[in-house]
Amino acid sequence: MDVNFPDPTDWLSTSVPGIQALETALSCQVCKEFFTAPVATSCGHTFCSLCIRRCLSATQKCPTCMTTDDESRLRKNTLVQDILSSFTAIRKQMLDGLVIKEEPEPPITKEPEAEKKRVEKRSSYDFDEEIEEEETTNNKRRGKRRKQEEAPVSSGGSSDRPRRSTRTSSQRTNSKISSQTAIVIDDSDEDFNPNEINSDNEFESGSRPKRGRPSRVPETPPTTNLVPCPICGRLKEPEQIQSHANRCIEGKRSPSPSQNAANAASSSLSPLKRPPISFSNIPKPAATQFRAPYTEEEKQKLKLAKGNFTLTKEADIRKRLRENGIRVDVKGKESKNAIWARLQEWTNLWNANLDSEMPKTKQALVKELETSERHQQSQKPSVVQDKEFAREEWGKDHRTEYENMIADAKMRVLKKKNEAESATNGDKTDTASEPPRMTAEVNGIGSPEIIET
Amino acid sequence: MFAQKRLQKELHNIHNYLPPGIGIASASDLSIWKMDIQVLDTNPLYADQIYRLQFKFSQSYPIEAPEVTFVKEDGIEIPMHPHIYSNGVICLDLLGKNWSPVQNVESVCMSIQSMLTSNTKNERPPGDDNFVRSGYRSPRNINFVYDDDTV
Repeated sequence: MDVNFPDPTDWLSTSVPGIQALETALSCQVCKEFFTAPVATSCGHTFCSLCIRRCLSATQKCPTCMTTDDESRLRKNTLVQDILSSFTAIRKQMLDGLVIKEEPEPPITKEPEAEKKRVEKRSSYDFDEEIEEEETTNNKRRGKRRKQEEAPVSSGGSSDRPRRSTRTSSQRTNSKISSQTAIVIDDSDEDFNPNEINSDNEFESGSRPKRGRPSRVPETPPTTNLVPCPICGRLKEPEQIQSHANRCIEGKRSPSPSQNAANAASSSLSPLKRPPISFSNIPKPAATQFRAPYTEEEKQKLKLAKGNFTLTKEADIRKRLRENGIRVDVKGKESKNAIWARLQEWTNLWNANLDSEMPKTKQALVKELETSERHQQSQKPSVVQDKEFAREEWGKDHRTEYENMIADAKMRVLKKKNEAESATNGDKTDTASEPPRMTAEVNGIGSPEIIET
Repeated sequence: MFAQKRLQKELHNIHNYLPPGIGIASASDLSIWKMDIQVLDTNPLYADQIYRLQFKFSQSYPIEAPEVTFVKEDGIEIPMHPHIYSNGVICLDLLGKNWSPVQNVESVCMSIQSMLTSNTKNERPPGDDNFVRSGYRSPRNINFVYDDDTV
């Protein structure tokens, strides 16, 4: 199971465990993750745009205080967005700097001489710059870095703080060079699930480090003086870096990752050694997936209304879905309920996307809707509705229940026959003994098959 | 999909920390979990007893409440309580109409734990026999009438 994601409890093992509360406050109470496009309800509680829209379509109540609320009253919470962006940008750095307990180092595979040489090299030529670059003057850092470079791929699941993986270098680069870029990166990677609709490689080219993903720096033997590419984090010869970075920006993949070697000194190279790349010139990653944020005007214009189930005709629902390019089955195959649910989910996705800092294109959203629906269908929790439902097994398991019910029914019929004056006695057994304080009225009468559907 | 994500997160937290008297019995997948709860004070009804709760999550969790019931297993009984039927079905508004997505497994366990702690009556809900005989196992299909605020 992948537990490789940021969690407030990460802070408990640091010297400032109180940050846990701060991080919890910056997390949506519905999905328990960092806010994605935070919006505030009219009662003042903040949630992810999509989460609260889903909640409100189920019950028109604020999940926290149960006050009645409506989607139309949701307002974007820019302050929370800003705080969150700054927090996520420095989170890794803080966590590394504040950590007390040090995990046992993995067995060192390199020769001690090589190790020593690297240390000397580092201290001789870029130590000062390094201090400038990083606020953390933690003396454990070196060990950590060594660890992450020696076992970059496996570091993900092996420790209790799995996030400390090899993307350090690229993330540091990002947060250092352009906090603006880091903001976009960090806040959008949670809920977008880019890997569902896109391959990892496409994203690598787009300078979007994914939180909680295993490292993407290839495991290779150490050589000297390599420079991390500011875009993809791969290590390159200083002479090659310019052309490599240009290729990265253009979205082309690096020819062969195996040529790129990991090196302890390289990841701490000063900004001076990096090629002069202006991040503002970098095109939006995977332009087919994302688009520029919506303006307020556009939002007002494009916002979809929820509509009313009874007042909306089935044909209209189909029409609206088809207009958006969403799959609808041939008429009659799907119930009005099913297509209505799809339209509601689409409305939620669409409206939440309007609030996003990094909105997706319509096609990407449609794809997301389809993926999530397929996913839900493949894992239907209800046993009875499932096509694979083991009828015989069910029958065996519930045999006594069926028999009891048959016996019950027979008894009732007998009673009816015998006692003419109590013709409705059988039915009354349920209601006559109805408890005075707490009652359970049951929907539908019949076999368990009906109950469970 | 969001259900899985959220459950993973919860499971991760549960493995890190759980309040006293609450433990995880099994959570091998993301659809059914079993949690053990224990009443910590000296309530004679539940002293030294461990009870097992079963959580069934739908794909709409946490928008939709989980189905929470007590289960009978080897050596584990259904606790005596005026709101718990002898087949394990729990009558608790939190699990029905008052469910809110901000609740989680831990908070539900704590609510049920405190519901047991504060109970002094050694009895089943009225109409327990009928209810159990009717074989309704899934709390989702039951419209409880929550009218007792004393417990």
